[in-house]
Amino acid sequence: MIDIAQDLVLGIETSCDETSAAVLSGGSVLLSHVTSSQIDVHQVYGGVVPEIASREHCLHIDAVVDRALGEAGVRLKDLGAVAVTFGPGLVGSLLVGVAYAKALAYARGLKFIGVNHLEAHVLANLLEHPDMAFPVLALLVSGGHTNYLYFEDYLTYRVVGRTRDDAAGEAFDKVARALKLGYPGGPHIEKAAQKGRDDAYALPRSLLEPGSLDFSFSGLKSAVLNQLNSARMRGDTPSVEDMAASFQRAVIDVLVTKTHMALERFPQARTLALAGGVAANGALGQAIEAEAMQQGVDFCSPSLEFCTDNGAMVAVAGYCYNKAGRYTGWNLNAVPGLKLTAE
Amino acid sequence: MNNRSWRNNSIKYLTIDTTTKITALALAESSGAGPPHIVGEVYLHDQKTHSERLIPFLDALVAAAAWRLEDLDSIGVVRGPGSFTGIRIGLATAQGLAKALDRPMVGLLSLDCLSWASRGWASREWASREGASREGAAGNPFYSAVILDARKNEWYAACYHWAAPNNRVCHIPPCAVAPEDFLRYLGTLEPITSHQTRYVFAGDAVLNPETCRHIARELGDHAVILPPEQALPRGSYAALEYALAREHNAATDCGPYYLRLSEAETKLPKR
Repeated sequence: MIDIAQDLVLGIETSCDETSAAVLSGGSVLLSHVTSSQIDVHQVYGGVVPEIASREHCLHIDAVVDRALGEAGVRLKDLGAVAVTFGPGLVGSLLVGVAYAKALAYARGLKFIGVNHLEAHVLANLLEHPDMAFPVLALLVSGGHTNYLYFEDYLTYRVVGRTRDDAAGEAFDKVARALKLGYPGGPHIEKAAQKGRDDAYALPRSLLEPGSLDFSFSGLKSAVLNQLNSARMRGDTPSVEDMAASFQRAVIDVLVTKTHMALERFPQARTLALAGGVAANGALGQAIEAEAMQQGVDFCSPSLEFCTDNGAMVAVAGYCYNKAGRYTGWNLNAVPGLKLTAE
Repeated sequence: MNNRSWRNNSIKYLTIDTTTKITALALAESSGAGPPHIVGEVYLHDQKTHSERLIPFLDALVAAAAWRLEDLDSIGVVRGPGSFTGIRIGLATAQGLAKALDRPMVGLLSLDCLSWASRGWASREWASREGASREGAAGNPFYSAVILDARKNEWYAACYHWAAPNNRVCHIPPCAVAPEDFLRYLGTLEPITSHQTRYVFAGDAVLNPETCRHIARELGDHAVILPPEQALPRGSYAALEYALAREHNAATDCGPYYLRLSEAETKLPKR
């Protein structure tokens, strides 16, 4: 029995290749979470095809929202707000979610909230750690982003580190393609790495100038491609497992080193939060958690379900905005290149 | 979805067409027989996106008509062909409204809707045939040709013939076609009258002067190109099409109608 109707938020996410919806009560009680993944559809192309992704969203969004409401046992009139990702992401995909959510909220007279996908990734931690202690230093690692964000409070943050070229997730995808491991790259690399030696190949760890909290992963990616090429030129067959393990180790080493520096830079931080699709990588999670323990701060990271793109994180971000009384107008448009507000 | 019967009694409905650069909405009432009463419409043709203006315009239109959204019995949505993104914005919006209001959707085709642009020509011809047999199409001297710019040197096109006020025969069903091929097909249609056949063109492709010259070269005096204020999508055309579909109790598929595969699919090696 739900009695605090105003707290019920429907979250909708369609920024890339997952159509997802969730109903959240009171900020952390997830009543339902339904995701229709398109991985099978895109696999044959070796990556997400934007037009196909948009078509799939259009075919599935209504049923996904229907199921999310049904599984939550909630009717539309019980909802307090509808939240939807409006960027960053693929414009055609975003537009399906934005148009649907807007119409739904408008016609039911519900509060409407456009959510920044990147903020939602970090706030996803609240689903399992509602008492997360602020200030929070967040390491956001996803397909398009690698950032340190310093959160004073739920919605008050600044960007204190960013990638200067490839995002970590992008490097994972490109290396996976070079190793012919297929799409999506992250899980394939992690699996292959478990069977490989992580010191088999010497790969660079780019730390940029001393003290910098920024990242650069394109050199690492190029080094992998070069080593694979020269091995093939010599007639050798490079070990996929060893290369995956060595590459993953190099990424993790950089992230751990930088995180150590970031925590020293922000000694007030009480929590270190990992977020984004790459946070699903188990080895990365363990390494960052160990670093947090060593420095005496709390650590949190969303479970797998909430690391990848999902409606629950949009709902929890919506909850935060709802609580702050910050709403979005009916003229909201999708913003494919949306930045973090403090960037 | 809901249990109210929407046939054989008066209904109120909304139509949404975002399949071209024009945002077109209409509110209408239909009694199930005869033309609907078009209560109001929105037509906007500028550079802003459908996404930004659709709901604000709907809100303004409903307010201007002093309707409530709950008054709507159903949502008519133009589901293609046209801009892929536009198709999806219209459909996703209609789906959201239909879910929120618990009302059914009725899917319409953009080309069918635009065939109403030239129906006035038929009225004229019917009047001139006063006294002649109204049965059959033999005496009707014009075709309704609809052409939408599909880029890649193609049109989304179809060709119709209005045999009577509520009887439209489709001679070339919706297709993605090279302009020269479509114009050639038109020339091979059985002439309705040998000496006076007219092809009346509507659709956003007529905005291109080169297209108009091309049509004139191919069809000469037989071609009539409607001016933009008649040739482009209107909420009222969709509202009329909705009423016709209802009168004929047509099946209402509400899925997107792209007519074309995505680029990636066309390049996929056949398995």
